[in-house]
Amino acid sequence: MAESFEIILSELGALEGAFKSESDEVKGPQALEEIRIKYLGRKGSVAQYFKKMGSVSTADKPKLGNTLNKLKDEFQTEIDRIQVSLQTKSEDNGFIDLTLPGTPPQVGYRNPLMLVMDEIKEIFSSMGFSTETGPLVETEFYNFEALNVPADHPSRDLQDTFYLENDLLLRTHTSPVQIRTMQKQKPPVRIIALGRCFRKDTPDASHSPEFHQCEGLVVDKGIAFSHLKGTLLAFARKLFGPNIQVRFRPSFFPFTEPSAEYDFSCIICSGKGCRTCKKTGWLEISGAGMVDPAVFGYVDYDAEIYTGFAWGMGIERIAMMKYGIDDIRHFYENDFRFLKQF
Amino acid sequence: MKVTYNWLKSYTDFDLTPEELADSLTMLGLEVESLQPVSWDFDGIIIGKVTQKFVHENEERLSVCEVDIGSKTLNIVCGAPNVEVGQKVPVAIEGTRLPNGTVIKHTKIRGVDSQGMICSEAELGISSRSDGIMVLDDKVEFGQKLRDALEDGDSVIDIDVTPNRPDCFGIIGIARDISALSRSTLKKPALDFSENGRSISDLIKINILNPEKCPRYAARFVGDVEVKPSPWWLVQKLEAIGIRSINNIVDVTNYVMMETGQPLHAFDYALIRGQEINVKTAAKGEKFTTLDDVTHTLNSECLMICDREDAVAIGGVMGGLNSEVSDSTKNILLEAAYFDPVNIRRTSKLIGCSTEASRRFERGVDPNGTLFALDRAAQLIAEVSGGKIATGCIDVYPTPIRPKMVELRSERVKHLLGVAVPSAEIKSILGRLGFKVSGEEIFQVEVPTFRPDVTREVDLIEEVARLFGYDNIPADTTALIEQAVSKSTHEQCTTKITSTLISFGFSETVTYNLISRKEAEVFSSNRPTAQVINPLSEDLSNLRPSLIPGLLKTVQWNINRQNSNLKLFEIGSVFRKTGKNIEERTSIAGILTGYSVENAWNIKARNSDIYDLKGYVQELLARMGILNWYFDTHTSDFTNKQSISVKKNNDLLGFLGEVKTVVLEQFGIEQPLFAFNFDLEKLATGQLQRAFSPVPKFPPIKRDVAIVVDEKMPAQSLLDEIKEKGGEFLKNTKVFDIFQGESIGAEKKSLAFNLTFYSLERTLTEEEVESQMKQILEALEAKFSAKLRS
Repeated sequence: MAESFEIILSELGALEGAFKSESDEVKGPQALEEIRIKYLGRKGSVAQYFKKMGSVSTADKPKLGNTLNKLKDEFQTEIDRIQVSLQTKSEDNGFIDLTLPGTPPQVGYRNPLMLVMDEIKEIFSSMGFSTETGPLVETEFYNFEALNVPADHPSRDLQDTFYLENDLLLRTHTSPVQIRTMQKQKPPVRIIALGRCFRKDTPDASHSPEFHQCEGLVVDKGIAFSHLKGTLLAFARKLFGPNIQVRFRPSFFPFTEPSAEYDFSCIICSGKGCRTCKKTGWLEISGAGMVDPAVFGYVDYDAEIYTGFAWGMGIERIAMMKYGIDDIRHFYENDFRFLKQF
Repeated sequence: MKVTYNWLKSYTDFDLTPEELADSLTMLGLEVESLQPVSWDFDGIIIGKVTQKFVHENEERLSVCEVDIGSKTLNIVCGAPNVEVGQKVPVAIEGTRLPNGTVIKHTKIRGVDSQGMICSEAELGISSRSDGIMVLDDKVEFGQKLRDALEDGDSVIDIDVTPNRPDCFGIIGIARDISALSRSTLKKPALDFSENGRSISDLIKINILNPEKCPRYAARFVGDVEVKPSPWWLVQKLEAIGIRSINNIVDVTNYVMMETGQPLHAFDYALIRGQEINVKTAAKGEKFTTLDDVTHTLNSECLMICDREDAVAIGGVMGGLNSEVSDSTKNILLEAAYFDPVNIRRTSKLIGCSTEASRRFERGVDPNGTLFALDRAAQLIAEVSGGKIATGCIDVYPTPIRPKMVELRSERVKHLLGVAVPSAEIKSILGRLGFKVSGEEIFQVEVPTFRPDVTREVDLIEEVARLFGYDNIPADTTALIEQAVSKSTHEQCTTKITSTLISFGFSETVTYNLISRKEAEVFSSNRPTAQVINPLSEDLSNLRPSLIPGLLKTVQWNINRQNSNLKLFEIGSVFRKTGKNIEERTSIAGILTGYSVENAWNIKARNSDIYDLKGYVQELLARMGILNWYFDTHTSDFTNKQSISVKKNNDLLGFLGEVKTVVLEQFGIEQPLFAFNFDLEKLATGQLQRAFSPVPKFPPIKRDVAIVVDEKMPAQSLLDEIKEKGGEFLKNTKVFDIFQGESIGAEKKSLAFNLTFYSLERTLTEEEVESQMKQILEALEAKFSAKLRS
């Protein structure tokens, strides 16, 4: 005897209602499992109705199958949902003290001098400068003579030098790298050289017998002082932000002519004048200028055709400005409490 | 170089406040180091007028004076022979503390009341003059503070003169730059003196035997001088710029030197034997005592000023004690010369004596400014000493130095500065600085001899730029190229090592290349170390042969500050002597000490050990892409027996080990410390760019096995054998446990291995793995008598 499809449908409606009300009441996983068995188990309600497939008309068979499958999926989805929500509830009930400190990861820290050097390299690299290196143990020729500092000239007094045996010395600046680069390469030249330098200064808060410099050199046709100003201004703004000003004032270095000292506007007071800048609004950075024709003479560049500019820059000074460090000795003490901040 | 605002103003007009002036000087390249008001520290010193003078009733060498100090009249006992009624004198009132520390009290001197003190220059700290009280100019008003009576409102400007500007070692030179900037005239002091008729040529003969070292030597004679304290205006001007007053003669030579930049020297004419001056080099080893009573040993390059008998001065450096002007000097021989700068510098360096004179001569004074300074000094000496100037001067100048001519192209100014300075402006600037300019567009420029630094076109361009103003040159960024720049292998390698070690928890240190000899020797493997000839201190006297001593010092520093768990590294240069040269290489070293894991609420602390370090090194080598490297035994002076070398093709790449206790003790470290060291160039040979190797798709089969061997059996031998016999599918072997105990027998140990097998092509069968395991165990048993642990 064919059962009425409509009757079955209405029974299924009731079944759905019963499932909903029972599942809403579920308090724990055990009860949920019981409901699953009752409705979706091998002998459960839905399975019972699948057995009635044979007793409906051929035309209604697919409809019933479809309806039952939908119902089965619906019940399963609901049971899964309740299971997840029960799990979450049970985890929330356990006491986990999240105020306990996290487990510290094992990480190392960088020396800020090196961080600043990397940053400087990155900035100049983006402006087309490649990095050159040179030895720390230098000769008189590279450190002085080829930079137009003659042996018996008072300008040697500007840099108190550590001498080694056999006329060797510890470089007093990174400028020898200029000469070494120009000796092996024809213009155009566009390099920076970073590294350790030595001067016979007794260590105190602002002096260190070992320190770091960044040298820059650009040689090409048509290079002018205005380009030097533009380059260092662009650099300063990339390093310290768009509001920084750069001031150039005449000075003297044997290897540049015209020579300049350059200052950055004080980053503490934005140039208004404070203790750090001694009320001047400016922080002295270093020296720069147009490469002296005498230097080109030593590397066989034609000074009529090529012009160039060069600058030096004290890394410690920049790092001290950047991080507000008040004593140069911190960089070389490597106190872990200091390093940990970088 | 110190100058005062008012002194500068006497040579040129300018409409600038002291602050503005200081700023302008800095922007002209004459960097102002400090600007301070001239201040006289004469607290409690009042100007008094001596109204009465009596002889002391108990001591006839003392006077009792009544001194009107305006507010009242004081009774003062005075011992000075020169006190007279009517004089204006400085009076230290009761309670005043003098520069020498004396505090003035109301007292009785041999029974007579004394309510203050009339001061000498020495007592006021102005000069060393102590043979009488200081007598002030009659024009000053008494009753006021001495400080107020002195020129006030003036400022001292301290300028850092660069070595290329000898002209600015004279105040006139600085005034010339200001006049060029402010477009005002430079007013050099006028010469106005009379000569007394005696001809100088009858009084002195001058010969220059080494004209290349002394191109010019000029002299004047001033007779009948009275050597005495300088007038107040002179004392005051010198004092303001930090020069102590000596006497009127020496003060004038100093004054004119500060004014013109030309050093001068005054000899006591009576002490010049034979009435002749010979300028010639010293004999090798000659000894000479300068007026500061220091005896110097000279060489045959040193230029001496000699009389007929002997040297009386080291030319351009300092006069001799034997011809010094003294109170009894009656006649003065005044010298102004031009000496070769290089020779003066050599002499000054040789004898270790740098003076105001030598500093100027070695930078180059104006060879054609000699006579002006000489005449100016003669005039002032006559004025302040009552002396008479002999007629004429001697001027030995066999080969006059003429001004240089330098060509300047207007176009080149633009080329070098990047801004077009109008030709008229170029001409005007150079003219204001004292250059003579002719021509248009291409200028012929005559460079005055007071500017020896200007010899080339580029030097003239700097002068133009200086006065045009660096601020007026635009900032042009068109020379910049936005482009990626390739990095050198060395640089890439350094970056890779740094980021790897940082990720391992090592912190980056930067230490000195200079260390002490003792520290260097421990790490130099008995080779001679590279030494600094002129070290700052013994602590910084040798170039480091290794990075490890610097790291140990850093460890010590941190342990002393309660940070004893450390993982540090440094990348830097190390040095060793190779014959006459010093070889410089880049090293990378690291240390590990204290806890590798610190105590925490959920973690138990563990001391770091050599295996931690070995693990880091293995991973570092892997990340650096070094292939086919191997561990080997290692010995060094500073590591103990448990150290290992890392080699490749028999070449030493580096080593790791525990540092010897004796070495650690030298650095004050009392806890175990492990160190590694590699040569950076050798690590840079690895393949930083690596090819992808496929990730296995099929499941691995894992086997654990524990075997018992002799306790001295190296684990590596077993691992090598397992690898050898494990077949192509054994991909990984780990040691996961080591056990020793009675249950396995004495002098035995159990090692537990975890073996992972897989194939990239298929799923392995249990049977395959079993057969491989069997082979491994048989081999271990045969070779090492290894037994399976039951």
